[in-house]
Amino acid sequence: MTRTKGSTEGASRTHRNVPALLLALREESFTGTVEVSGAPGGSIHLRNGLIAAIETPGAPTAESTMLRSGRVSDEDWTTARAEGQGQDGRQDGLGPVLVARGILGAAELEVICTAAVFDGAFAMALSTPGSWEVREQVSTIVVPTGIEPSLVAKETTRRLAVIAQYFGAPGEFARTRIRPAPGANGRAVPLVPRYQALLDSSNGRRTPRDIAFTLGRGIFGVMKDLGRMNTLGLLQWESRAPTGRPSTAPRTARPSAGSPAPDAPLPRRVPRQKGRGPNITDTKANP
Amino acid sequence: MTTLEESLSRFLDLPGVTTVALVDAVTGLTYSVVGEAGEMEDGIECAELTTLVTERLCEAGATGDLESVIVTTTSRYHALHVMRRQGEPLLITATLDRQRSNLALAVRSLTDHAEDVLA
Repeated sequence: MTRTKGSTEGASRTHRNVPALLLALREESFTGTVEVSGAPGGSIHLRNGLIAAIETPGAPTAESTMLRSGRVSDEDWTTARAEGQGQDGRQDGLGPVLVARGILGAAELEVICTAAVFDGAFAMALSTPGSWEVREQVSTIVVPTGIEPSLVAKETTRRLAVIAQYFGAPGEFARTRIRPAPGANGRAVPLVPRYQALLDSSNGRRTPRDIAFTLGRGIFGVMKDLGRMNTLGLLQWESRAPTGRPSTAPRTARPSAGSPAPDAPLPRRVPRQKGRGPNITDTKANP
Repeated sequence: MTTLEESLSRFLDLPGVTTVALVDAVTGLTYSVVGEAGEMEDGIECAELTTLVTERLCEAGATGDLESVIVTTTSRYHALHVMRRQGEPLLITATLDRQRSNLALAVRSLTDHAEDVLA
């Protein structure tokens, strides 16, 4: 069964956004998956209308948290998944198998999976989704009791507001490359160990999302800590100055001194000629 | 009752402990609360307080990782115990009735048995 945005079937027809769809599916006690396209997009797994798991490339999933930290070995994971998904490939037995084999505590499983749901929801909310489809259930590692969609929506809104306090547009912040501010590493007083680890990972090439994956932490926690570190003067963003609060400057386009006039032709690369080095020039200079 | 609730409920057996919660020390997300309702239930504030104390202690030159924050009021003791792990650290927060409790015993128990909560 597949229900697509804009289709005439079922409750997925009328809602304006994914949270509204999730609330409608909660009413139906729906079990299945909402596939959201876009960047990053992701899969929201529902069990009896409750959110049981969220998997998105935008945040470390429960699976990557367990495997990357070495908490669960690849071998144990593969075996438990094969056993846990059942013969029809649709059972959510992976978590219970990990617990039954003593690889993971039941309470720890609950904590990891719950954290991944809220972090995944936050990561997906950083950009506007393209479209969504409601599909059949697929086997995954789930929060045993499920979480109310309204609770996830409320917390996601709060998290976006927290990050907006520090930077402005949270989605833009997530894609910004971070580097230590001059002098941040030569302080007389040691830093909070968590901040020092973030500083060590901020190399001018990584975004907050990259750092979260590198450290095996949640993307919201990393962004929140980075925002806090920014207020302490420990960081700078690539190509723009750190701001403690959203800009209230007028939003008028102002050409900078170094950029070409808007009507100038774009630079064009021309084929390399014999005896000459690489040549990137504008169209006027073309032979 | 979930496994996590059962796990936290062990601390309620300590004299005077009225509420225990497991909270994400960075995001403030409350994973579970057991005991009396309405006491120190806001995990976000507990996480913010711990972050503030950690930062300020470092600035003041304190050495060693923060282990716990103990706050006393005229009627209650509040203990926040930090659990370090891979990923975000966790907090176990406990509220105690100071007429009936032994703070030293409770803190010792939190320290000794924090790791068992996730077992």
